[in-house]
Amino acid sequence: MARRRLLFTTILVVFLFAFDIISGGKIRGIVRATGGFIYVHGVGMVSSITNTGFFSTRHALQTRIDALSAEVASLNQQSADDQALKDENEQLRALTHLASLAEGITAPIVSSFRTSPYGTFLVGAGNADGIVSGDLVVSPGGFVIGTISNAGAHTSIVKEVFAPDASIDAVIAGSATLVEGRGAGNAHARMPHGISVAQGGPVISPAFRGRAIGIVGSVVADAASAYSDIYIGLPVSVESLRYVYIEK
Amino acid sequence: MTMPLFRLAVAFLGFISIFFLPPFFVFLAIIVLSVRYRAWEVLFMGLLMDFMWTPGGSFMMIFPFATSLAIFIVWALEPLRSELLTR
Repeated sequence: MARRRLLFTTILVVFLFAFDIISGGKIRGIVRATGGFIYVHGVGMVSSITNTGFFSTRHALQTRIDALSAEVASLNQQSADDQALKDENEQLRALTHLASLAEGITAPIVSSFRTSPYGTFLVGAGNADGIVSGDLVVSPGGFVIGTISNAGAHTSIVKEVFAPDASIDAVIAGSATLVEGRGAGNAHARMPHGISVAQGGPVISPAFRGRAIGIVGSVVADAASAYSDIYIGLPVSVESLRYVYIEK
Repeated sequence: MTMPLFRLAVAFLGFISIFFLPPFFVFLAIIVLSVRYRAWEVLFMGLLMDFMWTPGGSFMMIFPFATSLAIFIVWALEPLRSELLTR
């Protein structure tokens, strides 16, 4: 009996998946909207419970750590922003035309960054807001953190730039290289020893309209190898982001 | 016919993990349930995970890895369950 039930469920699951594909993602649209709702309200509920004072000592300590982490991240981001702006200014001077400000909208993040096994997350904007697949998702600091992969009516799925196993063409210290995503806003690249790479320098990607996608976190040079390992990250923790800018 | 409390609790945690916790917890729930029960609910866990998180686009971007893994695990463990467990 139980075995028959399992067999029936397997067939049903395959059927549901096929139906979703044929219907253009109707089921996943509903699931994502519901998932976003559950996440936002679930987090709100947990926040309410922790703010009651029941976990006051732990909560106070955590608040202090969060505040200090946010301050450090903010300073890092400011420094990286300055460097990215300097590079951008140099390029703009060399050009004869002015770049106009990109059109877009601000959208809330309605899921956690660490729950997806595919390096994706949800934002609370979709087709109804003019969002289409391929739009850039930009952090408040101006770093591209992903692209709209699939837009629903009011929620869209974003594929992270540094999703695990993602490979991106990028430019570091003026040299082209391949950056491999590691998830959670981190990535890795290898460059020959001869190229001088500074810590904190911006990582630019032509694949994302020549925008900055991260900064060099650290450079590890191994004397036994012809290459240096470059560890790349975002100047701000992706977990701390609440809103993103979706650039059309 | 009724589900044991342990099975209900693990299934509940598995479904909650899809929205709030790293994928490791969902896969752990799938394995734990599949080892002990003919757990049809793990298939829905995989499906829900794929519906929530697959990026969409090309074939590889919509391929349901979590659902496939759940189907594989729950059926691959069937001989073990039949051999060692009474139900």
